[in-house]
Amino acid sequence: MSIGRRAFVFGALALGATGCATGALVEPGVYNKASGLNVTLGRQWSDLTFMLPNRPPNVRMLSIDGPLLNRLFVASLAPGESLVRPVDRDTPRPTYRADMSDTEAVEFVIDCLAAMQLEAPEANALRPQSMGAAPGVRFDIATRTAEGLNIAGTALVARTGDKLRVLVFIAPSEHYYGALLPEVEQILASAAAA
Amino acid sequence: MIRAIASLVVALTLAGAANGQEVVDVAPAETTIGTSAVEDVAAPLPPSRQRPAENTDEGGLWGVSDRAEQQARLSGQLETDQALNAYVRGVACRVAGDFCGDIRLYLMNRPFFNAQMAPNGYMEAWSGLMLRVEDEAQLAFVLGHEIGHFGERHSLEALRATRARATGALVASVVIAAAGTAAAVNSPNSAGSISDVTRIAVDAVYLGTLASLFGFSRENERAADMIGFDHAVAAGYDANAGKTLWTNLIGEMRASDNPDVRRREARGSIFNTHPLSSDRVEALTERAAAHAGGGETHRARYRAAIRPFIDSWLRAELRRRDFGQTSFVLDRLATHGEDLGVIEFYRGEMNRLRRGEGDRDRARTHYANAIGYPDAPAAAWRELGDFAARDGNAAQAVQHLRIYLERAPNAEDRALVEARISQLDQGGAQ
Repeated sequence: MSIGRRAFVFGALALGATGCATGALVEPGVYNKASGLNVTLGRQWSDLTFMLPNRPPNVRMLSIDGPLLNRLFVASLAPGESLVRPVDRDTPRPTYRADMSDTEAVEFVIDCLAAMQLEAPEANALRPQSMGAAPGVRFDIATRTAEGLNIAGTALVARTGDKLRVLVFIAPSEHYYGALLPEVEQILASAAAA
Repeated sequence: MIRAIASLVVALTLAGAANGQEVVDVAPAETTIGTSAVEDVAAPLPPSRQRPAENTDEGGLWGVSDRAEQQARLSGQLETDQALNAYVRGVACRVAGDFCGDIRLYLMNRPFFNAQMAPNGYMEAWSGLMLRVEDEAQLAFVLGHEIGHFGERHSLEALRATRARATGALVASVVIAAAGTAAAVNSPNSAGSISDVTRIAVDAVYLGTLASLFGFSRENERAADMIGFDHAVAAGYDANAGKTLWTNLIGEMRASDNPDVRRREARGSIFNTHPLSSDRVEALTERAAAHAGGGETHRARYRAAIRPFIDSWLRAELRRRDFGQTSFVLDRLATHGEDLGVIEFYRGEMNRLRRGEGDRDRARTHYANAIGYPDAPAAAWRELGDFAARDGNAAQAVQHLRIYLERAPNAEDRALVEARISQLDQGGAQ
């Protein structure tokens, strides 16, 4: 493909991506759009999954104030899937494997956050925590945006069968993380494989 | 119009600054922090250049550079370690000569080989470069190369040569960027995601413009190579540094897992706008052969300066998931038999993440090698414990995991590992 034609196609894609999609309000109650991972929301959220670049399958993104201020990923990943999709076919991405250890599952989530352009993400305070009946791992997240904004987060991952169930909440550590943490804790406590 | 074209050309010149990359403010050349400091650097000099008038094309370039530098100061990628910044700044000043006072150097944590210097004097050196450079002489050559671009005003030259040729690409660039901006305005919270999409599109336009500039750029690159050589040699550095560095980088590109990188030997690196070709290596080889020799590499001093950062830089390098390049980098780092605990650990990590045929066994071997060295990261024992548990050897797994906790008593995954030990002690599942 010539450079000029490629530029045209990319431009058309960009215009399409920015002009057509809209989010949807999600009412309080059970949210079951993540292919087998149910959570109970205590308040109204917005489903902004359409904003995910290249929209990976089985990953949903919810927010209260917009993805720059708070993001909750709800995902149910089969082996070979990821929280992110590469921008092109030659750019590898972190990929979930069924034989990952608990530590590797955490590493997978952290590497996905790095692939989302968050800077030097770190997992802190890893500890066992169940997701419904499934044993899982809970951990906290510290990172920052490329622009230097400090981001805090918390996550819960668990395996049921071959699937990795993932809940990741991230928000600026200034105000937004703490403001929504009680709601997020309730959501994590409510999570269960369908 | 000048500003618009200047914006494009600076984006090209800065080899990626359009991707939201930014800069750091570095303390002046006080180079006595740490044991690896350059000792003989003079106090900061005043800038040698006056700011050009705003209504000139060069003034436009400076304005765009100023904005990029402002972003850099706030960047989350900025490396703020005082000792490392002072060290690199010292090397830069050593090769900059009269331009020392013009340089504002920013170290950026980005896992790609890149350095760049803007027309206003702000300079970036990326962690991927620091990881790949083998000694101080090679760093001096690269920084001298960038100072060569600055000294010769290559950005201004490129701007003037590009004006006519850039018009078409510029229009497309502005249209795409405007689309992204409009979308961001309509949905403010989506700015980050949409900017990603727009960035990809704009990058494609830049590629088109770059292609039209390659013939021109090579001239400047060759010239900058020679200037970098002359500056580094005049400062007492090894004359072979430039050709060795470029040869290594060509080798690394060829080792890439990414066919696109292998084809172009260029992607994600300084060579997007600094095309590297064998004729440049040959020219530097000839230049070095004609030189009397006697320069210093200062390899040990350089390694001491970067040693505290090798672990985190390798972690970032692994996240690129170009295991061919990473393997090449690890081999280069191991050349002098230093830091082998860390290097063997990351060889293990690379094989563990790659999960190709035989990689599991290779990972275990490298972890086992790592723990034979005093600098092995504690995580090597944890990984060996995990391997042993998977192999059904609970006793050995527990032994490794206990050593891990002894060596990393404040490990973030302590609760998880303790639970694992308890499970294994009770004959739990693997």
